[in-house]
Amino acid sequence: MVASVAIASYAQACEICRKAYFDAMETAPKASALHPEARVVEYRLTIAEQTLSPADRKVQALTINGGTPGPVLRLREGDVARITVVNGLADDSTSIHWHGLLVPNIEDGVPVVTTPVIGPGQSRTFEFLVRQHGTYWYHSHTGHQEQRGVYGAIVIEPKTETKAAEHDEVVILSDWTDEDPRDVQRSLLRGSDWYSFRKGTSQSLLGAYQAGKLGEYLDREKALVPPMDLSDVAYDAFLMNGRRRRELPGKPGETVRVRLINAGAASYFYLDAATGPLRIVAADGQDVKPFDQKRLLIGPAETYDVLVTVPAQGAWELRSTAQDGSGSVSAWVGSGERHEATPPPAPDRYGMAAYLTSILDQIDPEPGAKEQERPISPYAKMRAAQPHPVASSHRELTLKLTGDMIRYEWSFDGLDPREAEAIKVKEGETIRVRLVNNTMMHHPIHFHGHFFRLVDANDKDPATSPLKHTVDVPPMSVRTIEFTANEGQGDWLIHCHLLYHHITGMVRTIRVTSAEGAEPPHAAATHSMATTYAWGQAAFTSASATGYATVQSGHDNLYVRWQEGMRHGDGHERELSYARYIDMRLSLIAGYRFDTTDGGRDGPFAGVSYRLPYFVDLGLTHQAGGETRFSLFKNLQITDRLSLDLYYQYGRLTHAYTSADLRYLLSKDLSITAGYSSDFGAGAGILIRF
Amino acid sequence: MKNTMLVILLAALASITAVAVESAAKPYPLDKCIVSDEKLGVEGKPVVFVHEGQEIKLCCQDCRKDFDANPAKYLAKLPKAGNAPKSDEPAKPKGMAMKSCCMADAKDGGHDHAAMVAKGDDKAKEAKQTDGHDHAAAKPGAEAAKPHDHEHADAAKTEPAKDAPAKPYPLKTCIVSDNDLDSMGEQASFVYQGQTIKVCCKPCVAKFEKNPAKYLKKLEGK
Repeated sequence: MVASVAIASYAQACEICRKAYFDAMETAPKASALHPEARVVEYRLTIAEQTLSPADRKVQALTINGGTPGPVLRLREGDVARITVVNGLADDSTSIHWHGLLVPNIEDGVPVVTTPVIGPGQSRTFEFLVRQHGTYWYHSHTGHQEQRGVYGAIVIEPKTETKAAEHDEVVILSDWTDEDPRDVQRSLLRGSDWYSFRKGTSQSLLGAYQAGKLGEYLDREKALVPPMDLSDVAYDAFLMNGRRRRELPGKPGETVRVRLINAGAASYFYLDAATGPLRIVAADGQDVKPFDQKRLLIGPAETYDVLVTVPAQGAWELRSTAQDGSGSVSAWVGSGERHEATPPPAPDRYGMAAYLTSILDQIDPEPGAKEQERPISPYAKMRAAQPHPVASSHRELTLKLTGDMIRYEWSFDGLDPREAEAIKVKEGETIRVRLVNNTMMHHPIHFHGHFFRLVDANDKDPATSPLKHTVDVPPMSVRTIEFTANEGQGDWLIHCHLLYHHITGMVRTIRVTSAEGAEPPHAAATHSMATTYAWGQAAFTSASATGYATVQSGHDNLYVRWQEGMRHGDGHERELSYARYIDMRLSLIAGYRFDTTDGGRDGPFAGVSYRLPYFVDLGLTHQAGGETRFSLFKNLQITDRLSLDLYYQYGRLTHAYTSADLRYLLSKDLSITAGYSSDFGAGAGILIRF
Repeated sequence: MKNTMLVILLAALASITAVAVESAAKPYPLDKCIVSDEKLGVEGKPVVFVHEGQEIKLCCQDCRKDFDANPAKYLAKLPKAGNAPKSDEPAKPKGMAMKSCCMADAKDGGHDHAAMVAKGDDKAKEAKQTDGHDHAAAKPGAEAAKPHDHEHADAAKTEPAKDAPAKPYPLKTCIVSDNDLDSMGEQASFVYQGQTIKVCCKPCVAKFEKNPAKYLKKLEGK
């Protein structure tokens, strides 16, 4: 707590230096002054809140110029783009980041870190020289705004026209939830089973038994490895260009360049075309030597350009299936009789070992290996169309992708970004970053303002290694990227582009200093979007009223817990406590307990909570007055809906207490509960989550 | 009823024929499973059958799948006439000191090799290995033991240690995936040609087996 306060006041003091820095950058000559010969292309993007129904139900969404996605920004290499972002929101700031574009640091659009915040009613004009061509996108970098609709496509034509297709179509994929994304974040933090239940991906003892995977299930529980999770959120709809269906016009025989952009906040998609393998000609905006891919996995924030030839007759499906199999959205090429694409096989929810094996076999393929039915990204096939320079020497860093799925806390190297130092790189220096994914999820890692090359130790021609701005790192694997810090001094973010991961802390600042190591006076901001969340649950049964409520910020939690008997003469126990999260096993706890049950007393207490194998939580506390307690808690997921909470406690003065409660999941907020406790007897009732 | 009697008669006839054929076959000369090299009887009653006139004994039914997939590979382990093998020498000339079976079935129907790797008591084992006293760790039987399989483990430990102590594993990361060893809970460890190997998870064991030389390069100069 003391440390947090100290950091906060230091950061506040720094704001003055930051403002001075921003002021200096804002008054420096902009692209149009530096490149007076260039054509200036202007856009105006107004962000506002309005009622839309992307998944049929009317909900509040965020729009750009009245719709979502926003307009396609069409530019040509060599232009100066001048884009004014107007914040039409009543009470929230906003921002726009130009994803994949090489822009001066102050135009990168990350609020506080690189660019001044655009407050309600304010606007800011971004100006930059367009130094590249290809398919890119833009999105808000503030809170959950990207999930609520603040995104759009950028299409940049090359300086000299190269005609690979008769015309091009932007297909921008996204995921939509009718819930307020802040509630989604809260549900993920609290550890709700609801999303996996809704998607049919929950894991249970009975399910594992029926799938013949009980042994693997128990091994996993023993090792404290959470169930494999291909996606965290249950979405109400998957969209193409903001709609649930799309027609791609084209005359028979015509070749269409489909510019695929994954603007999903938390979804990977598999692309399948009924017309046959996808002809990939560009990835992340960069031209690649054309290659065919039967089924394409596209990670959040990645873009691919694929060529599709319109068949002589019929409507042919271009299907985008969420990686977790929870839904899909399709575009139809041509018109007439329908030809459906083959969807990917459903994931095996208990097949974690098989999935890891499949990833290992693809990252490091055996000779002659065929494309798998559920492939990972096709990076191994990708070669840059034109050779690029390769640095002769580099400095190597390792960034570990870490997380605690149970607490829903994601990070680099296990550090809270607010407590982690920026990675310092000198201008001109070449850095190789090993991204080591120690988690059971895919993470799309995006580095701002630069292209990096994907490093493969066995690559015979590094000059044509693929250049990307976002790389998928599959579970339990390593990707190595290399970049040269030649896009200007300043703070550039590297983060997971799963929005809910980024928000909990999977983000770091890379500060590019001068070649001599000189840096601006203000501390690098971390762009941690973590805010404070609160939740709780209360069970009311014929025997007792029990529950808890908590407020969480970073690694700190404040708890209120209560337990009251319904019968006359039953005692109660109430606790107010503070818990500090140390790691996925250990938490420290201190507080004050009011206890009128047999042997109980009022007084301060302190102790630890430790997670044992099989996700059994061990508690040890000592209370003033001589009460020392030992407790064990285990939640058994019996079926997708039914779970059993088992609790045992022994106190030196209060002696043994046991309880067993069955919970039957009805909805996100409600369960039926029935159980027995040694203090309050048997009872049945409801459990409400709030 | 008639039909039932016929079936029983035919079955009886078939088994008599089988026994007769088996008894005419060349006797099995080893005291260990031809697939896993595990001492027969440790996993329960051995599986006995005749393959092209040669009696074969396996430690368990799981090994039958491996044998059927490539009989020639395993038949090569049989000594040539008159050369009885020494019982304390593994029939297998080199390779994984962890080949075993009869544990959890892997998805592909083959053996779940990872299930055989010692875990659980890994820290104790590592300590022993670093001071060079855990000779049993380099023995096939010891590596095959599940931590809770006391009978099995003890049997292995009582075997006289002939091999040199295994070299300790020098990395903190999985030899296959390069991930942190503890990133998936308990790590798996085994001995390959006198070198202790650690991997982050079971699928990495199978991956290692396919091309050990490739991954062993990571240990060069360590």
